Amino acid sequence: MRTLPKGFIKSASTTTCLNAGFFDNKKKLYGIQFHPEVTHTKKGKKVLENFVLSICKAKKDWRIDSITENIISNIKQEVGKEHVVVGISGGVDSLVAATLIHRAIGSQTHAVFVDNGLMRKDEVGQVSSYLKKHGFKKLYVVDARKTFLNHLKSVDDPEQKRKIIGHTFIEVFEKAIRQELRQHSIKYLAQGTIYPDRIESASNSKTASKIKSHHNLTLPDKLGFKILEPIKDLYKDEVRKVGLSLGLPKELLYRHPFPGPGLAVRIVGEVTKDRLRILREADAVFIEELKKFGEYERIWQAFAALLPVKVVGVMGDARTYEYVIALRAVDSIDGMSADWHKMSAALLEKISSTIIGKVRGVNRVLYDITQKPPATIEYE
Amino acid sequence: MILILNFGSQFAHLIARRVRDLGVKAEIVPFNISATQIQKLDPSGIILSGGPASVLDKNSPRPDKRIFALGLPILGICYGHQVMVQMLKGKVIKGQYREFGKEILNISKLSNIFSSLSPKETV
Repeated sequence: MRTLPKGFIKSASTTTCLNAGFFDNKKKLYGIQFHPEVTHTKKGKKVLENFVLSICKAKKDWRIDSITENIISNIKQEVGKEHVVVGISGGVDSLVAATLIHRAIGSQTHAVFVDNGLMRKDEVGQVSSYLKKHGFKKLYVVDARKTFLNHLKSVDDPEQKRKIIGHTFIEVFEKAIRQELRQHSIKYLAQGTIYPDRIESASNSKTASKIKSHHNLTLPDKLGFKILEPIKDLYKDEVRKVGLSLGLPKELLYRHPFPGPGLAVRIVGEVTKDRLRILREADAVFIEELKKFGEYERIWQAFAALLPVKVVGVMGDARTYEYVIALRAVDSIDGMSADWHKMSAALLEKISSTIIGKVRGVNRVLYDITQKPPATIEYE
Repeated sequence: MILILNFGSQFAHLIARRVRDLGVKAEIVPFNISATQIQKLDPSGIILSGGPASVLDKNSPRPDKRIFALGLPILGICYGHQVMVQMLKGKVIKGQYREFGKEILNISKLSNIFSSLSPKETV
């Protein structure tokens, strides 16, 4: 930055940037050549606060309880007496979206939960029993575990796996709607799209509405549904807070992020029934131990992955050739960059020996100590 | 409500989250939203986000220039700050060093956006 426009006054500099800050108080224009929004900028929050509250005098009306109330009354208004089908994925977003809709229109809500067999241990049971207990009379849990496994047979390319899972979901979901919900005339398909899903980068210029995944693209057209997106303006942490304000249990709301294709992309290579069993059990042991030692809440994301190699071990007098389990636990603020989580050697040892002791088919446990970047958080 | 003009969505999202943490509604809109549309949305202020482009590139994104005449407070961050200088007839030159990582900010005017800060801050 060499010359400032007329009327501007320089307010800050760095060694590399002469005009790192400037302002024109009369016109209320302010410029800064650093990022106040990133976490390592210690006083960044104060700079934004000065601008937003003192200079703009913006109203402080963004409160979770009023956001929750507004969403519920908007759903009531939009939907009226029509029926809505909402897809439950097992994740936080669709759970909160479904609960909001149910709170707004009660028995006009129909929930379809496709069990693809790729979820974490007990996830289907936990989420569906919670929903049933809380008045979801029309919850259809579709057991599609075999269908997914059949379609994934002999496929080891990650992109291919993702595609197959997406397409299989559409197939199963559509069939479920046609069969189970035939007697109701459904007008809306609800989905748990959140704010970051909708905002594209500036380079794609023409902006906004992007749709979350394949099924949402084809289903509404095929079945003539309108789309309902109750949490489309919220960030993940706000979705969780709305969930809390609705009385959803913390245990369900604060689970670590989980990818859409689930355990299928945490098994490197081909997905088989046996590999799924091993990974699901190992992951459950890992998470349980972390929770027991109060470590779970300190971690952004923790999970086990299965590497498709068999290595040698020794049990009793015999050699074994079994799978390797990689444990990943990372600290992050927003998932964009991540550091591996430092935990005590004693805890790591406890986790490792419990996995080897409890899970048949594993004889080696590794702890992943790579940062993102260069590695990603997930394995595929 | 604060409007964030999106010159790079990762930056825009982080800003929106911080503003919402202050209890204020923040909406992200395309960088080329018209001044008339902005008036309709009636924000208390505008933030021009950072982004990957350089204002020295011919085809780099520009906001509607009438936004600077709306009388609304505007904060330009990084790319947003350069765009503001360029469009208000200042001069931007290519920096000798790329600006990476942490730096010490020497603040000469501890008022308005810098009030309650110290003369030296890590940014």
